[in-house]
Amino acid sequence: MERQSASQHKDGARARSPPLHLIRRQVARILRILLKGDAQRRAQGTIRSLVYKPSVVAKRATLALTCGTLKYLQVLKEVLASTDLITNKRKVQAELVYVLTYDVLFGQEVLPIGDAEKLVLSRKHALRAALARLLVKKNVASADKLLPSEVEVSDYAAPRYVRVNTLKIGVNDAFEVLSQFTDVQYDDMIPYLLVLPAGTDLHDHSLVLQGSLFLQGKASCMPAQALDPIPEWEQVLDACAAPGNKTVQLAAIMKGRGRILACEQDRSRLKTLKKTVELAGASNIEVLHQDFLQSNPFAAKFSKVRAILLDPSCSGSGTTLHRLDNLLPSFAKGQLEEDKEKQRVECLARFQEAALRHALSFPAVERIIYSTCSINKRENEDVVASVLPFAHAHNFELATAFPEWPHRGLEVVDGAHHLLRTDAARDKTDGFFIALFVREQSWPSSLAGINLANKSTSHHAAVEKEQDVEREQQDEAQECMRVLTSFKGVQTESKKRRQKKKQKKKK
Amino acid sequence: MATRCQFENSSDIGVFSKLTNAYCLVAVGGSENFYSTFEAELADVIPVVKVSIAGTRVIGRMCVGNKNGLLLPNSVTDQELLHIRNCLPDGVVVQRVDERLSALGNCVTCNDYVSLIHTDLDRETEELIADVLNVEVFRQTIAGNILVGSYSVFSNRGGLVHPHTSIEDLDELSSLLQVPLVAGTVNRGSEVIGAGLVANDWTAFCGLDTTATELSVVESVFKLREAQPSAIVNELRASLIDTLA
Repeated sequence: MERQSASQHKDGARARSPPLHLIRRQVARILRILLKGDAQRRAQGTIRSLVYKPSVVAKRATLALTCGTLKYLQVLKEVLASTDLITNKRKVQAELVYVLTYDVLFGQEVLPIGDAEKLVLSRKHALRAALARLLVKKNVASADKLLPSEVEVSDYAAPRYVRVNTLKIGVNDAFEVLSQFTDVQYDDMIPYLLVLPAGTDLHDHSLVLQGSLFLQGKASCMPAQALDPIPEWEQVLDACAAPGNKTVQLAAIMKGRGRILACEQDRSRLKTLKKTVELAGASNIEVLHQDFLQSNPFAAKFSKVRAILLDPSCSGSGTTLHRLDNLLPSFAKGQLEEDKEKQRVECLARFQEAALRHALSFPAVERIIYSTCSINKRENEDVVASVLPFAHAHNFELATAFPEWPHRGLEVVDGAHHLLRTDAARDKTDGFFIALFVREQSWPSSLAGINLANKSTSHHAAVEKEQDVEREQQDEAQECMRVLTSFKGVQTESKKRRQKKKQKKKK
Repeated sequence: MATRCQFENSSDIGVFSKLTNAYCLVAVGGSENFYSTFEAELADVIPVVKVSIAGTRVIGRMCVGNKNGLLLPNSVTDQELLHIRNCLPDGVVVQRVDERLSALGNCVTCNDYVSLIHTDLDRETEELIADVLNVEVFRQTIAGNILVGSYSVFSNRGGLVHPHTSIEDLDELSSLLQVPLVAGTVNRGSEVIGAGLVANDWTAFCGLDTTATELSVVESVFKLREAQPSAIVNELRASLIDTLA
């Protein structure tokens, strides 16, 4: 009897959200990692990835407080400059003081529980006065007006897109289930995509957990749909497959028939890929642990590849709004100003060029999609422009993906009207870039080898020279990847150390 | 259940041992009896490891840890550090701390979620404690004593603090830590709780001088009568599912 009542009490306690002083410290810790990573341009995680870690409790409140504090960070710093709260003499974390000051000035009531809380509360009036003085100085009515204009974009509300995994559930069935608790609409371009109101929380919905629905943005659904593989095709290649959302989308488009080869180089990302494939229940996907650049296009196993989806590593500049990066201090300064960032984009672009050239040299391929989640011209139009002569030499032409889409590529390359761009603010989805290459005269796959053999004898020297150039470019790209990994310095070092430790243990 | 034991005729067993939910450290040397008391209770569930820190046996006062990690003072030798690292489970992060106040066990106390620390500890140490032990950190005193590690012991289920702690302080501490607390003594009236008692979520060890009354207070506030390691695992699982949900 006694035990029962005790357990009831415990459940009650758990249902209550954890107290604010614990959440604030959690937020302070997240802020410390974020600000440190941001200052050194070596981020250890995005806001979302840090908040959604399993060890974090009360994720929603934590995310709200983190975003709020970051939003007002500049104002808080100015207010705090007039007090003595952040000095080396006081052993209080600066980040915790930011969080507390945010709560005192703009947020929830602060109770005097905890050492830092008491300290900040003792300066409550000084802080409020400092804010009032700041408002007068800047000649604005409220604190919202103090915020830089870029931050306000953060309130954009993208609808929640849900891709129906047609391997597991019909689109109409999914529509029925979802329409029971929210209003659902069909997307006008992609038949198996549903549009839900912004902020719909689906991450623990049973259909999502069992892989019938995938939480995938509209923009990231477009490349695979644009590739439009026919189920009768024997092989389709996904070049940089992990985490595998597009791969399983391809499998669904091909109705589980044919064969999809998914290449992934990184071992840990390979695991994610395998998990996604298993979750989606796609039996026609073959996962290859292989570097796409190192693969031999003329190998027997690739001889029937009719379509390639190439979504290589990119700077991800199209997804900054989703990642909430616009709240970080470095965003205000202008991201591309810094040489380091430029260098990184340049390296990525060279890798992308090499990968695209490599994809174009597959003998039997007819359709290639090149897509990035970046909005930099260097990674998109410039890559296409530099590869275009090579593509023409292999009988490839640019083709128009989604002709009904109004926003096309920047006019810096011939045929920019074929290219497709999405914009985060304008289209309410992530910023993406899509280019579709189509081989003009396609031949039956069984004859591909013969045709190629003829071609290579007639233009023997030319082809060889071309291959040399390609090889050189591959080397260059690999060098770039090496430089890129050295940016990640710390992480790789610790990984190495761990591996060494493991080896020692084995010995 | 709580067990009474003794280290070489001393009842201050908290000085010579460190107990967490993931591992137990005991001082090397002395009689085998002390070690085997711990092993008899814990060996099936968590590793019991004999260690020394900086060549001393007062390991309980030199280090602080929980299921997530273990912090060792600057004076620990490389060999000792390596030995500890090799013996503890893989998920436990072992880290050395560059802190002037090197008796970490006296200056810091924690469970798996919250930690109280000495008010003069460096800010870098505070950040390290938060990161390695994965806890929220509070600078606090207990009944006016700054050595929070000496005058309190708490697990994820309950805690015992210095007998002179006022009701208001008890309320504040228990709202900080989110566990029920009791002011009490161990070892027949000793107020140095940290020295006389080590506890985790399902078991506790007290000095041999501890009276029956003190023992029953310990058992009730740490909720040891109903606790089994498996029950803890189930609860952990439940709370894990809670956080993931």
